[in-house]
Amino acid sequence: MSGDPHLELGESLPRFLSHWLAACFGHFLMVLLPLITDWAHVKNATWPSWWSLLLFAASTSLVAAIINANLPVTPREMIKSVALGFALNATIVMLRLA
Amino acid sequence: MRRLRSTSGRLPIRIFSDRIATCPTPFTMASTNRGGLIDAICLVALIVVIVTVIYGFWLRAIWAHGYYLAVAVAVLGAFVILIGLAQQAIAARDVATWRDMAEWQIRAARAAAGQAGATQADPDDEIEANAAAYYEILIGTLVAHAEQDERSIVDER
Repeated sequence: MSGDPHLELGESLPRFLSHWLAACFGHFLMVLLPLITDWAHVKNATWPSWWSLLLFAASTSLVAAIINANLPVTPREMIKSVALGFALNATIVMLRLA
Repeated sequence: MRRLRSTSGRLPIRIFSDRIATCPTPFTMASTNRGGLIDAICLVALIVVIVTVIYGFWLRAIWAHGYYLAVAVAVLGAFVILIGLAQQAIAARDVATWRDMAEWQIRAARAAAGQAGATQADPDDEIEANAAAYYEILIGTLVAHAEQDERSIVDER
């Protein structure tokens, strides 16, 4: 709790990668929750191919990872990355960007 | 840069004391008790999210078989996250062990320095640089300086 917060929280590649993965899981959760809750209705809906879904999640989660790259890798901070990935996908869905 | 304080210690040197001792405030004392519980709850939530995602991909894979590869990627990502978390926990435990060892060493040096001071008539006498007591008193003075610095930083707030 002392000094410049930018000096206390260090950015590193492992932190970036783990928060990027967590944000990807948040993104997938947003995509897949309708399938789990309305499984009978959604099963015939048009879905993107699996690789385009993965690439889309990876690219949007980069934003979340860049923002959260200076947080430590603890469950508490990972949940924040999951929530950010979920929120980014929800924003894109609501704006009908993709 | 903090300026040098000319206090009663013997060594007029600047000490980076931020890493040596953390001062417990009421907030940190309360949060260390709660921190483990919140971490555990968050870990459960994280695992629930991961399992839900893998299950959802699996449901989709039943209809579109290409999604089995997505299931594989998600399982791989989950493994990477969990291994990263476990590694962090192991590293934190190692650091705690090292800190315990250093604290034990410092306490022993202080006790030895206290004994040396008791046997000598005047503790402010010049000590021979090769004597074992010299290093013990040196460590004791360094620790005293660090604690004094820490206390004055807290007071400034």
